[in-house]
Amino acid sequence: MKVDQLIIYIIYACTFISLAFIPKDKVRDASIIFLYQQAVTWFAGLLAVELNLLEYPVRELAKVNGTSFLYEFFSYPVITIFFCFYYPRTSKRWKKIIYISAFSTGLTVPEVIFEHYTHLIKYIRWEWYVTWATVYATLFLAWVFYKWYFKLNNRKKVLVHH
Amino acid sequence: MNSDYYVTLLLWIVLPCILWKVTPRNRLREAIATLLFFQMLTWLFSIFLTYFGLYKPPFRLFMHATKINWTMEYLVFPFFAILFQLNFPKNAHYFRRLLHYLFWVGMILSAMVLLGQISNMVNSDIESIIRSFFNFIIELWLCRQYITWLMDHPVYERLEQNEG
Repeated sequence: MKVDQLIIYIIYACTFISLAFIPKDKVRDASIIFLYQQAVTWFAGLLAVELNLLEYPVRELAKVNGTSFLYEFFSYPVITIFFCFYYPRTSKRWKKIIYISAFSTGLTVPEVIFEHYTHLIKYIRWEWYVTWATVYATLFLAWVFYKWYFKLNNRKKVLVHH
Repeated sequence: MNSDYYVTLLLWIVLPCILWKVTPRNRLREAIATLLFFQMLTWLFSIFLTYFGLYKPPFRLFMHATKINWTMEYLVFPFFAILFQLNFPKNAHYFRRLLHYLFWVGMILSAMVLLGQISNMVNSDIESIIRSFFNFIIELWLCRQYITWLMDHPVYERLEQNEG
């Protein structure tokens, strides 16, 4: 049990430290991505727990909340910020697919390890590839939203024309 | 119990339609930013208020997953925040702006009392109304700080132009 709490603490700390790596001129962009992904995970996280697909035996605010507040409110939205900032927008399609897949894999592997060796998460009717697919889908949607919100395509066109 | 589901369903149909109708297309991004930021605020406020036992909504969606009244926090309160933001008298006198805050907090509280009468979705006893009054003043103010900061940038002016 102690190890679980420590892991939660370390993830909080790392997420917090990673905020320092957000470029100063892109804090506005980052805030919108962050808030968008929160709105998605709030709903999706509740749905997954409500339908008894998975559970988080060790979690913060356990009395109130069945979902992982840390992951859904803080870590995953912050990861999404960096995902969107480094998205290879001008590269070929297969490179984009590899990029998104790398992020999905990078998030699924620790989750599977946590599932096996800690009490942070327990799959009930869930598989690792469902995690992989939902992460892939939510990251990609966040990118689509970000591109639309800040009109990134137009920004590029302006640069080309002038 | 059954009527609560109908009320919830009705809210989920009616409020998004109203938002779609009243939001000018050239302020769509402002409205979305308000929605998202206010959702974050209500999430934080409600989760900690519920944690300290100050807030116990009787009926809710996701009964098993959370003790928060998700429909209210995710949809109803941000709905009012968007209307508050879209109608905000930016250049008006101090008292006019203060009145604007009081008016929209009044609207939220009226909605809470109304929903408390016709359903079990909210506690509308005097204690929680008083607490909500201060909470929403703070939340609306924070929300405005964020939106003003977000839009105070040359990039943002370009974003809201030529929106069909």
